[in-house]
Order: sequence, then C-alpha cells, then structure tokens
Amino acid sequence: MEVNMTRVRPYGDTLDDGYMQLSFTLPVQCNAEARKAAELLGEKMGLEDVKVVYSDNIADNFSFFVVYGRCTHSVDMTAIDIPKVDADFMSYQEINGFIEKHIGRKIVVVAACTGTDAHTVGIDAIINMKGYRGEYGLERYPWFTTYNLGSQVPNEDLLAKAIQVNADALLVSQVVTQRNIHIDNLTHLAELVEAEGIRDKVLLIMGGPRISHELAIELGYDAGFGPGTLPSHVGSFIAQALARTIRNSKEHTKGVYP
Amino acid sequence: MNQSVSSAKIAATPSRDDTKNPIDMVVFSGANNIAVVGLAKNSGKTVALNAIIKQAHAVGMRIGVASSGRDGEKLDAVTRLPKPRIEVQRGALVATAEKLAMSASASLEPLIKTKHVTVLGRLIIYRVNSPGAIEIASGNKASVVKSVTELMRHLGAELIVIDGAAGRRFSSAPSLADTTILSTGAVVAPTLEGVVSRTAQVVEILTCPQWSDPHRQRFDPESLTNQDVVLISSGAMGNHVEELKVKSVLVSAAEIIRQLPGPGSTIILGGALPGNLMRDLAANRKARGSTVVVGDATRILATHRDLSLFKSRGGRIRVFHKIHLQAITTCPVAPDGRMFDAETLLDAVAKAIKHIPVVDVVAGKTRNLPGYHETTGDETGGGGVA
Amino acid sequence: MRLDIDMAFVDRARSAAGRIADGIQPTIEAYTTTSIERTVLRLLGINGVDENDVPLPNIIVDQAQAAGLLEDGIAYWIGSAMLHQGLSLSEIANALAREEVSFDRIPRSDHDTVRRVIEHEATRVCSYIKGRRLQRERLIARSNSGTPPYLYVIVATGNIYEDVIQAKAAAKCGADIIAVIRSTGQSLLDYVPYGPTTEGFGGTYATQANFRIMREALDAVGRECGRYIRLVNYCSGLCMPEIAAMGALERLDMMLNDAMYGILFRNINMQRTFVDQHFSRMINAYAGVIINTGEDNYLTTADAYEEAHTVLASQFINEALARRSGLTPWQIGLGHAYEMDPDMTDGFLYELAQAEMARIIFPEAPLKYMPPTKHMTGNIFKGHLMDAMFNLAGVISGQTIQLLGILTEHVHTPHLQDRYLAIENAKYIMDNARHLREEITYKKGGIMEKRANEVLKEATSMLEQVAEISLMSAIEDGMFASVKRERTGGRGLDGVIRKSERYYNPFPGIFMQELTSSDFSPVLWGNPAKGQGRGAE
Repeated sequence: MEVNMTRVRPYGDTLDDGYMQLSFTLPVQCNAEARKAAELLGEKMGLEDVKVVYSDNIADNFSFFVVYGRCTHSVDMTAIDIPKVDADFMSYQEINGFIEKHIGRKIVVVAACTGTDAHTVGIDAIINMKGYRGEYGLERYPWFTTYNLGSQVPNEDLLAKAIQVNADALLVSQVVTQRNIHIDNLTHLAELVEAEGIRDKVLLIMGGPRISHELAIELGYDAGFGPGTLPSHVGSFIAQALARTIRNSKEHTKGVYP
Repeated sequence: MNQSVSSAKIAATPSRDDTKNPIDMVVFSGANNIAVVGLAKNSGKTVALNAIIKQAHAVGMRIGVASSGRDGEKLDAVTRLPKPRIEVQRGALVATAEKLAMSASASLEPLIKTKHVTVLGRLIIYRVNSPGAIEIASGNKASVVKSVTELMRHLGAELIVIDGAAGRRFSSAPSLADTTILSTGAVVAPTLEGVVSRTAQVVEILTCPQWSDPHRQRFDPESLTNQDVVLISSGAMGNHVEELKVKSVLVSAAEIIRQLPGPGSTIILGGALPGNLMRDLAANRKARGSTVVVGDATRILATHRDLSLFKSRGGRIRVFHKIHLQAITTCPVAPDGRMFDAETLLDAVAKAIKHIPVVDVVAGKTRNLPGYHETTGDETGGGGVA
Repeated sequence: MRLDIDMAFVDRARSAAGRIADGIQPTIEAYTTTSIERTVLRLLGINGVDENDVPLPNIIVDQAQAAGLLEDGIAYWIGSAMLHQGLSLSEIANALAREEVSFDRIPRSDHDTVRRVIEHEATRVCSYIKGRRLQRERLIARSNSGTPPYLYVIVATGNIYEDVIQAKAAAKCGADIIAVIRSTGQSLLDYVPYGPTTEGFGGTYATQANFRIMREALDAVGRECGRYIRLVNYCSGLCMPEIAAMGALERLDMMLNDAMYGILFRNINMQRTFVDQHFSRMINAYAGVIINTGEDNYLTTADAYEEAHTVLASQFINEALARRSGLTPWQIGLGHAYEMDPDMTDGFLYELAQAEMARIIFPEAPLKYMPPTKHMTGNIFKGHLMDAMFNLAGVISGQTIQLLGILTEHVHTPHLQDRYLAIENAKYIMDNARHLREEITYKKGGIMEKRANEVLKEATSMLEQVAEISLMSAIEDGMFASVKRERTGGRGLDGVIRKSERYYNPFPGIFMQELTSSDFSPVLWGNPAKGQGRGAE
C-alpha cells in the first residue's frame, strides 16, 4: 500500500476511501427535515455519500445525529512545518554534565499553575522528585534547584518568588483553556516580568495539554511544551538556552555588531 | 466611572463620520515609532499595521517593520484559522528571524546580522527588494525590540511600526514607541457592552495622566529599577522624601506600606504596579488619598477592578512618561464567527471613549476625528493631535 | 452481610476519627473568621454591593476588623451601631458603607439590649430558612423520587442562562441532581460576586442571584416531569459559610463541602478552614442540605489503588466533624471515586470491593460515587466504556448519588449531547442490572473481601496515627495526599480572629437548639423515609 504523502485522506477499509464519522447536535426537533439538514451539513463539510445512521431527540428541540461520509479533501503532509522547541534533547546524566560544564552553578527554576488553574498534574510530573513515565523530575537533578509553588498561584506571587530566589527560569502550567483564559494569564505574567525590568534575566516557559511552542512564541515566551513532554525535555531546553544567553553576553563584550 | 470618559468634556458635539482616516494621518503626525497593540489576539492589529505600511509607501516614506510577537503567519496558533498576512513594499526594512525570512514571498536582502538569537533563530535586518508577504518576529523582550528598531532607524527607516504580540502591550512603552494605536474587536467579549467596557478600561489605563508634581524634576525615571521605591510625604514640616531599596514591590508590599508616613503620600515605583499592591493600599487607612507613580502605563498591571478600588479610596495613579494613544481600531468579527454590526460597534466604542479617534479600517469609517471638536486643552484627555 | 468486613476495625477507626475531631474542636470554638462574620451580616439581610461591586458584608467586616472589633462579633457591633444611631439594620449598613458612620465613634451598648435587637432579626431569618426546608419536604412528598443511585450531572457553561437550558435538558433526559460548576478560582476570592452572571471560566460564578435563577428553573422542570430535581453548588473556599447561607436561603439541596479539601488542594489556611467549615455545616444541617465531601481528590494526584485507604480515612474524619456540626448521618454524602488505572488486571474487582466496603461502613450516608477522570484520555470510545463499568459498580454496590462520567472528560466541559450519552449509559446499565445487587454474594476469603479488609486496616492505622499527633500536625507532616501545609501558612489566616469573652453570634444557638432536638429529621429523598441513604441490608 503506497500512501501519497502529498494527498493524505482518511482510511475506512480501502486506501483513499475517505471514510469519516461525525456526531453532533442540531438545535431543532428531530424529524425528516432535521435528518436532511444533517446530511446537507455533511455535504457542505466536504463529505460525499453522506449517511445519517442514527438520530434522536435528546431534549426539547435538540436532536442528535451520527453521520458517516467520505471526505473529499486531502492534505499535503510534506508541507507541514510545526515549530518545535529548539534544543537537543539530552538524558539526565548529560543534562547535569552540560550544566556543570557550561554554566558551572545550579540552575534555579520556579514553577506554578498560575491564575485560577488548579490542575497540578503536569507541573508535578515535570518538577517533582517522582517525575513521569519513569523519568525523574527536575527536583531530583543535582544541578537544578526547583520550587514548585502548586496551583492557583497569582502571577504576582510566582514572580515574587522568582525574584527572591534569583530564578533563571519560570515554568508556568496552564490547563484550563476555556474562553482563552490561559492566554490572558500568560500575557499578564509576561507583561509583569517586562514591567519589573527583569525579562532579560529569566527564561519564560509555558506548558500544558493545549499549549504549543507556536503559542509560546506568539506571546513572547521562550518555549512552549505540549502533551507528552518529559522532564528531560524541559531540562535540556533550559540548560541550553541559559548557556546560549551566557555565551551571547560574552560575545557582546567582544563586539560582534556595530 | 471611567476617568478618561468623565474628563472628556470636549466631546459634547457629535462627531461626523469622515473618510479621512487617522491611520493614514498617523503617517504625517511626525511619529517616529508607532506601536500597534491590541486588547487580545485577533483584535485587528495586523490589519491596522498593513494600513500604515500601505500609506507610508504611498507617500514615499521608508518604513521599518518589527513585531514584538510573531506576525504574518498563515494560520492562527490557537484557532488554526487564516490570518491576514503582512504585505511589504520595495524599499521597506524589516527585522525578523532568519528562519521566517526564508519562507517569505517578498524578496529580502540581509543588511545586518544582529547579536540577538531568538527562539526562531538569529534576528536579521532585511531590505525588501520585491514586494510580497512576510512573517515577522523581532524578539520577545523590550530590550531586543528596542535594539532592532534603533538599528533600523540607523539604516534609514523614517517611520517604524512595531506590531504587538497578542494582547501584550509592552511595546507601547514610550521608551519603545512615541505613538500607539490600540486594536479592539468582537473577540474581546461576548457582548457589545462587554467589548466597550473592556476597551474603555484598557484606554483608561493606557492614557494614565502624567505626574506633574514639582518633585518630578528630582527623578530620572530611567535610572529607577524594580528595587527602587520612593515615598514622599508633605506635612507641616515640609516634604519628606524617603528612598527605599527593596527586592521588588512584589516581594516587599507589606514593608512599603509599613514605611508609609500617612494618608496623602506619593509612592514612586521603579518597576511594576501589581494588583495586590492596589488592594493592600485600598485596605489601609494610612494609604488613603495616596498617589502611585510608575514609569509609564505599561507598568500598570493591576486589574481595572483593583485600580477602581484604590481610586475609590482617594488614590491616584500617575506616570513619568505618558503614552500617546493616537487611535483605536475596531474589528466587528471574532474568530469563532460571532459578528457585531460594524457601525454599531464603531459608534459604541466612539461614544464611550470620546477623546480618541476610533476607526474601522476595513469599512473605512471613522469617529471622533480631531478637528470637529472644540478642544478645551484638557490635560488628561489625551486627544493631543488636534 | 455482603462482604465480610471486620467490624472491630470499623469501630476502632470511628473512635479514632472521633478523637481527631475532638482534638480540633477547641480551635474551632476559640476563633471566628472574617467570612463567618460576613455570613452573620448576610443572614441578617445585608447583601448588596457598593459602586465598585464590593459586597457590603466585606466593607463592614473590613472596617470592624481594622478597628479591632471583630473579636466581639460583628453582630454585637452592628447592633451597637443601630442603637447608637437609631437606624435600622439596612440603614446602618448603608451608612457604614458610605463611611457616614464609623465604628471608631460607636460606644459599647448594653449587651442584653443588643442581643434583643439582633435576636429578633436572627429568629426571623431562621424561620425563613426552616420554611424553605419544609417547602422542600412538601415538594418531595408530592413527587416521584425514583430509585437510587440518583443520577447527578454537571453544567458548566459560565453563563447562568445557558446553564438553565442545559440543566432543563438534562433533567428531562432523566438526571435527578444538577450541579452548577463554579468558575475556576472562585474558591480563592475573599468575597462573593453579586447578581446574575454570564461570564465564567470553566463554570459559573456562585452568586445568590444565580442560585435563585437555577432553583426556579429546576422547580419548573420538576413540576413538568413530576420529580423533584435537586440543585447542587460548592460550599468551599474562602467564603465557605457565606455560600452556605446563600444556599440555605435559596433552597439548594446539596453543597460540596469537604473538611480538608481547601487546605490540601487550594492552600487555604487550616485554621481558617476548620473554623469556617464548622459554621458552614451548621447552616447546611439546619437548611436540610446534604453535604458532599471530596475524597475523590485524593486519587487525582496519587495512585488510586495504593492510596485507597486515605479515602476511607478522610470519610471517617468528615463524618466525625460533620456530626459535631449537627448534621444527621443521612445528610453526610461521603465521597469516593472509581479512579484505578484501567490497565490493571482485576481493577473492577478492587473498585467494587471498595464501593461495597463504603456502603457497609456508612450504612445511612447518601454516598456519592465519583467517576473516572484521571485515566480519561480523549479516547471517548474507551472513556464511555469506563463510565459504563463505573455505572455497573455503582448499581451493584448500592450507591446513593452517582456523579455521571462524561465521555469527553479532559476534552471540554460537557456539551448537551455528552450529557445525554452519559445519562443514556447510566439508565441502560442501572435498569438492566437493577436487582443484581440482591442476587449476588461475594466469595468468602476472595480477592474482594481481602482487598476491602486490607484497605480498612490501613485506614484504621492511619487514623490512629493521626489521632495520636492531632489532625493539624498530621497535615503539617504531609500525611494527606502527600501535601504538606503549615498551621500558619496558606491563604486566609489574616481573617482568623480569636474570640473575646464577649463574643456574640446569634445563629449557632438558634441552629443547635433545632439540630439537637430529638425530632430534627429532615426528609431528603422521599419514601421510603427510613434508610435515608440507601440503608444497610
């Protein structure tokens, strides 16, 4: 079976048959017209051969549909370019060795779920001793000093702690993304860091199940880590980015640019 | 009540719609650096930016384009919906990352490799040799943006525009830009009233009035850092000035309040003005009627609610350097498909913020254009282009 | 008995929990909090806001605290101010808020005179709350109560009017209980927002107006369906007792209230929490509210198999503290959850063993069983199956309140169709296996019996250890959920005030008189009235 990577389509039981399943609700009474509406909606979405296989009233004037159809669209996967965090991922041993060699002191990280967010699972997996998927958290690394402030930490408190302990990196976890509340929160923190005049001194890093590196860049953070991130990924990035900052400031004194 | 609204006595006369566009006029206003900032993502910044670029080109002004976030990408990083591209004309200068320059449809000639390495690679100043679309990211911190805009100026840019990142507003700081344009739109809130009130709140903060106290001369705001806090009290025995060294106002709010001499004092902060300080001051009788002074309005990071609480206890907020807000743009469409009537939104925003021109760039409609008002020289109003 | 559980350990555990609760009672009695004092004002009818949306109870209590008067109780000082100024309660509240009157200039009035004035107002509101309770009992008597497990679903749109649409749809599909999820972060607000709200994050703000809107909507849809639809909200966070009062006034039926949740998971100061929860629960008890405790949270951060005993230990502690606040056993909806890793062999057996164990140990409690969340991945198809297994465990073990799992857990707050599918799932399984519970017995000495006794023994030894060192020390040592909290750390300690000898609050006296009378027995589920929870067999 030869898949054409420039024209990838859904697979049912034959290459390129395009089969997809959908389920959705329409805010109308369930009847023949509503079923036709569901079918037409499928066609408008680019499906052919649309079949409404199930429909029922689920509340007054709400009907539920399960629909199958063949997708007429395809995607060119060779043209996909997703920005990724720029770091060579290293192991626990390598990271500690790297920090010892290139930085020569412990890296201080302050982490929290900020704003109203109460979901600490992500940040705990990255920071806490116990770690995640068999990897130690950063707390366990001899060359990291970590502070995990837990959940629902106001941005002001996170930054206060960072200032108190001269943090090299701030790690912010955001899980709740309803109505883009995470964007408001993350924006406020970055503005606060800038207003305090210490943006040049800290790495700003965000993480969470709906966080991408793209979003991090857009909001002016240094990195964004999404689902599946391991402590060593974050550790590698922090170590290398910090080493780069130190190198750059040395370069500067040698006078690289006019 | 919104302070800038209540002080806008100038707007008693209804403003006329006019095809003259303040975005176009900004090009002739003598501005050097224009920051385009927004209330949120998808509030219409790039549309405003493109309008400025186009107008500058039309009058033969060499423009330099920078972005404090990342702009001109095809799809939105959150909604995955298409975004307006940034179109640059021949002769323009742009500061962007090497990686992004490679995918531009405009043809670019590198002029200077800067020392700044960002998450998207090294920043380079390019000259546009043939027009087209481009993605711009010029560093994610004020220090870097400042450095690249200075370089572009050095290389001959006559007008520099700095596109803001999402809802971040740090690029409107007077140290980076002498003129600011603020974008708002349907994305800001589900209801028209919500959009208007949030916009008015942000404008109230951005146009925070200047500190005009005689003490002003004693301070060089550029030399103050987040470790500097100054307390000034005026009493029967004259003024008393107390200079404190703290870790940061974020760490030492309690300490600052303890040192506060009494009601009616002035508190100068070298760093940020956070919400918890506002709440603490509001709750303390010793802080009644006090004035808090910060470098500029981008340092004010308390919510409108916290600021109102402080003000309701007689508090005042002042800045060393005032932001010059030239215009507000409105965008009636939100990425989720919600839509307001363009004219209704424009009118509603213009009615709430009477002292600043409001424009819908796409519809080409303008309200509150200066020149149709009787200007009363209101200091706090900020309609300074008249 | 269905599972042979060693009752000697149950007795030991319950007695240790009693000692634990007695250990913190002196702290509870010695202190009041700003939120309790605000609650007193709310109960006295002061509940507006000023032009900055700051609630009047906050303004007045902050003023009294700044003047150092809270140790006597706000009831005493507001009464003194009324007498001194010759104003009514609402007049004096407004005058204080506008700073026309200052506590600094109010002299002490005669205690007995103040008491007479305040007691009069307090009795009036208490009889109103009692009237709300009796109204609930009338509504229940008139309707079909169905059979447990009662189906509990959540709505969480952020907009109260949208919540109403979703809640009505759910009730019509067969939901018995509607919980309105609170906007994330409200627990950390030191004030209660005001008025109907349409913008929340991950939920809808708990305001008195929102409570009233949803209550009216559920009463209306209940009349249509011939059932009484129960309304739930959160009584937790820095405003715990204030929300308890709002719930009592607006006839909420259940409130989420856990003795330790705020301390461990919201970093609220422990003294603040224990003092607040005691008064809150008194209000809940008097209003005929069923509390729901939050033991499920112990399992979202730790392994559900290894930490099962912490759930049981917390249930014992919640029970002991709740009893001391006057709640009857059938008002104590102890929580537990179905959270084991689905990859675990025999996981269902362990879950069922623990669910049966809880049923046996707390025979009268309206147990609240909570669905899988931690191992829900976004694979909605597998998630729907996990919810089905959870529903089966619920009906077999005779749970009272079944919080329905939603297949889109971890994806978004439930859409209309998600809730419909969840209710359909539960109805199908619970009807299909309705009397299975009465047909099966468990193997003597089998996997399940061993598991239940093992968890019970671990819980007992944990409780005895805690009783030894005191609950606050145990929390400081990180014995619960591996979270360490300092006695003087966390949020809200500045709102904890030691009471003076003159301290006055009219409500505990009125409440406790009713709660300790022998005929206090709120009707919560309708017939059969005996066995208010599910009843031991």
